[in-house]
Amino acid sequence: MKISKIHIKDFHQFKDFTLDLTYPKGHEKEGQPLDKVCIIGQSGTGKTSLLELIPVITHAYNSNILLKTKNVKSISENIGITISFGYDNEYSTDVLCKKGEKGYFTHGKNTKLYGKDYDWVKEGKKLFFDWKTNTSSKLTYFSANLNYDIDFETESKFEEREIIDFSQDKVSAVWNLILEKIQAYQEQELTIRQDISKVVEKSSSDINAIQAAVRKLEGWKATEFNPIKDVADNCLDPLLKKFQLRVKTELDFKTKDDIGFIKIEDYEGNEIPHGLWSTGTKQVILSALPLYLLKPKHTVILFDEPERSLYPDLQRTVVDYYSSLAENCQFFYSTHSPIIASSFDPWEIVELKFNKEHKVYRETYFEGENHVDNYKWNPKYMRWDDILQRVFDLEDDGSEVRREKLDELATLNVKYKKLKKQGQEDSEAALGIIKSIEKLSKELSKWD
Amino acid sequence: MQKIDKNYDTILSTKYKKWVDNLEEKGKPHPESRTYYDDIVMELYRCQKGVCAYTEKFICPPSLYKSDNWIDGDYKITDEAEFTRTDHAGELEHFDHHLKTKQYWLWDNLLMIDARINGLKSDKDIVYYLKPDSKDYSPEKYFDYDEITHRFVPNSDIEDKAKWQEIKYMIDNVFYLNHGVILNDRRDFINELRSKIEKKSPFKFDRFFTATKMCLDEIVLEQRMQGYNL
Repeated sequence: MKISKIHIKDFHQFKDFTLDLTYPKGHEKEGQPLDKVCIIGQSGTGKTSLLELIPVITHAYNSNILLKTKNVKSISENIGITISFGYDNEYSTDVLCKKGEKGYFTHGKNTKLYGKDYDWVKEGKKLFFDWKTNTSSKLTYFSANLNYDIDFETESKFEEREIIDFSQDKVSAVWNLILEKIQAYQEQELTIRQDISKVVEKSSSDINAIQAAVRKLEGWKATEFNPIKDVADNCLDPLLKKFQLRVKTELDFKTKDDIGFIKIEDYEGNEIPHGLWSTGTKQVILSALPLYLLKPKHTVILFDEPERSLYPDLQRTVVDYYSSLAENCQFFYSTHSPIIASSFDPWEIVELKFNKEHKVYRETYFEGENHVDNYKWNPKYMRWDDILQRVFDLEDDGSEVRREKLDELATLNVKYKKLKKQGQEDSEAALGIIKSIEKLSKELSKWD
Repeated sequence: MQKIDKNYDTILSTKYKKWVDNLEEKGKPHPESRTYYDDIVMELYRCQKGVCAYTEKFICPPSLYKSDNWIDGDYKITDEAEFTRTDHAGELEHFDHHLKTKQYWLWDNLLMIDARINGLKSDKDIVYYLKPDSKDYSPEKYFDYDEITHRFVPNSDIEDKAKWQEIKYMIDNVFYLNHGVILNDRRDFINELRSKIEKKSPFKFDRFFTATKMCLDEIVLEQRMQGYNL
């Protein structure tokens, strides 16, 4: 499922607000829903609200915003989302959240199959619910204030949920998805090791028999899927490398309870207890694991402020990394980070701003027709400070103190230039100015 | 901040002129009516060459204020034109905001400035000697431009410290001449122009006139020394 349009007639700061979330003209995916969307804007413009409204409309889900909104009718009557679904996104429909006798439900209209009208009530509704139930993964929401407490004991039954909502569940609960696989793997390993022990016990002098038993273990290890090693090699170790840490793959336990949560160690093999994990380490592990273990496909994934506690060098890779973990999904990110924004093409950025009537509108980055060639800038090509200045509207180039120093430097440059024009570049005054310019330039890091 | 020639006697919006002269003669307060809004705005752009009166940022395409757009003293732009009358990024600025209440449409007090700068400047008072269309104003008298940092600073020859500080305050907090994005755009424009001149490629000199001229003097001199006459 992908979202191609959000229309809000009247809801809090949104009035007659329409978001076109399709690729612009001139793009190879012209007219199709965007694969990823980055929502930016001042605090209070409604970035989180937009994220939280999506599952309300598409899944009639009781998200935080529904619980917080006093006038629920305002959502059902004023907000519509256009979605497409199917392997080829061949179905499209406008959905609304309605309230019936049994609670909220998603209602569709203007349903189309390859652009031709299709009856929602007779067929579309069933197709959509079959798609959600049998083919696509569950819509997943990562809120800004994720619960990173490590608790794998409380079993979260994701399969029973309408959506996976990490504003409600602890992120570490995803570990349960892999626990049984780890246990099965370990039990098999124990059985083979017991076989080796028996061989040694029975015929300790039969080197060939012992070697054959050991080879059996090695052969098994080489071919059998090891869930922990898989997580280590394909998900966490490339990220933990930045912290000079890795996943501990050699585990010693007898029961499932002994496994506990994932264990990490330094390069010398010293295990780092969970209580000593840094916030950044915890964030990296607990942000990457859910998508890797859930293996989402054909669904919508919502991330509110994915930059939290992430060092800048990780922020610049995180968007592409998450995309690589999902199959044909649509990602929505809400962020304050210019580094996160630099992973997006300009048509993927939704910048929310207030107009003079204090209503929210979308700032567009193209001039004239919405065509890829008409976009005035592309965050992917820009320097971080340029993104901050032009996209995030932090128009000054530094602190007030820096600006004062720059003015001082500019004045000295001008004074020197005037003396040079008068042929006095070797005068005592000019040499004094040069000294001051050198000192100031150094302070201002004017190496560029 | 370039010197602007706003010669009232030669403006093309003669109907507006007649209307406002009549109000002034009779000492009537100006009405809220926006009848002549476009006539004034486009006439100002014509005088300012399409740039913000303070920052000299390009804010209006020339096709909007070319003289063909005036018929019998009225500003009229055809529907077929490439740009419509609202395709500019400026707002009407009242140099002396105290005159707004009674003389809102007074020609002498009006300028077009970049909308963003207008928002930042708000209703701050401006010293009269920096009125860009006043008879005695010239940018060189009050400003220097450093082409290394691309910043405007008060003319370093001004010895009166209070006056120097006053101009600096105007640069930073009223005209926003060194505001981040403005400064970057100006730097990029001058550098590109410099590069085109050096490569003898065609170039368009349509914005940031003051800063460019202050830098260009040097470039022109260098080019002339190399036998290339611009």
